[in-house]
Amino acid sequence: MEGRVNSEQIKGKWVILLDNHIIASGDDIKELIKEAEKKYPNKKFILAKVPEEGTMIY
Amino acid sequence: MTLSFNYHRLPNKKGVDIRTPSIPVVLKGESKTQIKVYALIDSGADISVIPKSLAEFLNLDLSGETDISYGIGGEIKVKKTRMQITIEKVHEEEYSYNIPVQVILSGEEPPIILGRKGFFDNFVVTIDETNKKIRLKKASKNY
Repeated sequence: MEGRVNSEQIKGKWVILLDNHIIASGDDIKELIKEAEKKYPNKKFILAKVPEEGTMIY
Repeated sequence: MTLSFNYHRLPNKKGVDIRTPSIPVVLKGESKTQIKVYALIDSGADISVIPKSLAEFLNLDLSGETDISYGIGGEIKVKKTRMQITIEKVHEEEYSYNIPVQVILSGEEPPIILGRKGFFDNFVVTIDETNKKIRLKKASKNY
């Protein structure tokens, strides 16, 4: 899942961003980071969670 | 010195604007492992919060007793520990703090949240919803 994506598909998911492009998305943080480190070694990426609509945190 | 951040905006092609009051910070535990994340600024949270999987990735100390945390959604199991957060160089300055954090063990995985204890007490925090900006000014106690 690279480049521009449909935001509906990633709501509630964790995403890895590289230069503000989503390079991976999913539910498992550790797997995502492993995947990103493998595909883009030595790059500085950022982990974020895409909020669901109407999210309430407790 | 005031640090100013635009709300984090996620890229998408459908025109659905997902913006959150989140800032980029580097999280680190006792080991060398670290990761840069977008963390949600939440004045309603007493303390910072991360999911268990991220705590495990960072090798945070999870040996403490399991506790219960209460909120409007009910109760959840948590572990209390500490982590290092760093706001990377802005105006040649780097801001680094060792803060308390609750690791969420049960229920749905929360986003990464920076709450009041350990984070807000270092800054005067302005969440400017109209202009979609967050401003952090180093705090000085007046009491």
